[in-house]
Amino acid sequence: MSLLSAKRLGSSKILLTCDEAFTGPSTDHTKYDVHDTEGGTLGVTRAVAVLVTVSFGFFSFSVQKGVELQLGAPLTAGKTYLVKVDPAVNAAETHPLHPNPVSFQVVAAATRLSLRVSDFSGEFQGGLLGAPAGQVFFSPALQAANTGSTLQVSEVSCCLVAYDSYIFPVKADPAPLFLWSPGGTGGLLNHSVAWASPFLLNDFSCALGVLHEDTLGALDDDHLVAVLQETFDLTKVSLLNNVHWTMFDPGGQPGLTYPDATVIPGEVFKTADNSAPIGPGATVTITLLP
Amino acid sequence: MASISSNILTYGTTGLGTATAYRSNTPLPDALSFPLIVRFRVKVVADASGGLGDSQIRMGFQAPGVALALGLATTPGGDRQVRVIDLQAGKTLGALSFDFLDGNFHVYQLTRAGGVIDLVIDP
Repeated sequence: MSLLSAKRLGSSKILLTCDEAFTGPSTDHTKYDVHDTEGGTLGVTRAVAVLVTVSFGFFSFSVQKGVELQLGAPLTAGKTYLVKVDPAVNAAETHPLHPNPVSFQVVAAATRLSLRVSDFSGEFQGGLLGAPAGQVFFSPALQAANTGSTLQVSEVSCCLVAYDSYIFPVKADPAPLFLWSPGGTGGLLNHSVAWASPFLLNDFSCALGVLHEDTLGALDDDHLVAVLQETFDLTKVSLLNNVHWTMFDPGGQPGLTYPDATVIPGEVFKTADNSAPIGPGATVTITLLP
Repeated sequence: MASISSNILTYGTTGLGTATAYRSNTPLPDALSFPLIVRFRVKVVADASGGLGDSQIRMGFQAPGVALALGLATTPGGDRQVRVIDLQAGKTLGALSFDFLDGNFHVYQLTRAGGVIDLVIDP
């Protein structure tokens, strides 16, 4: 004969179930004790019979297959508890209960369930809920006639959430890129090291350019001016086209001498009045009118 | 049988209770592209099954392609559940273990968004 299991029902209830051979566990709460593995006792304040309907041919009858224990303190998720049952829990039983005590762990119950819309087969087009428009409803007896269920409703809300959102684009790696110069601030770029995460370095590019500027006066339209200048002073070279005159190379003419045997220096043509080289001639400035 | 006291509607069946529902037509759930949130704050005062079977209590909504009801029932093993029922097909698609019969008000929230329907109890 055995107790099959102990299971948490709500925050401070335990369902204790039995095997086929063990029926009618006592509803005397003093025959049950619930404590944790650290020695703390929760206390059982009430034991309620749990009945199961058993069908046998045309007959059906109810059999008590368990008890629901109301605890004096709430169960804590994640902890392990022991339910100890008095061997005299059922006077008709002579065999020892096994296991006794029953241990179980409280697992935090899921409070969320997700389903796909496509799992549903459609909406009603007729009958009690046949209005085609969206509909919210509650009922104590919707799918079948039912007597005795009562619910209290304090709030029903139906909200369609319409909004627009904009998500600012961000880099996958928002860490900044650093430049480190061994020469301190103001160093040349080609002596600097760029360092950042590998992802950012892979995305790193550098565009360099010289952007020096100079200042100029404002541009202004003006006349075009032609400046004409004589190469030589015409007042001193009027005989240059005379074939009897010879021009010597300014670099000198080795081996050529004047009649007095002095070496003729390599000089440009000089005038006779002051031995100065013949300079450029007069300058004429002509303004070209538009 | 229905009565209102302190802004709370008490709604039950006596005698031979028939299929009945309090319904509110609203075009809101018809917009598929927007998230829809339906909340019920409900306390179960009496369970026709005595806490041993299907209470027949239902609450839910209809939207294009969906006729959803939450059903409050207890399994033969004593596990109290909030079941998600496809009313059109008459089948249960999922369930959460939850003691709806603890005498307290609880919020049952259904959210439809992005082709998914979420049930959250006491969010």
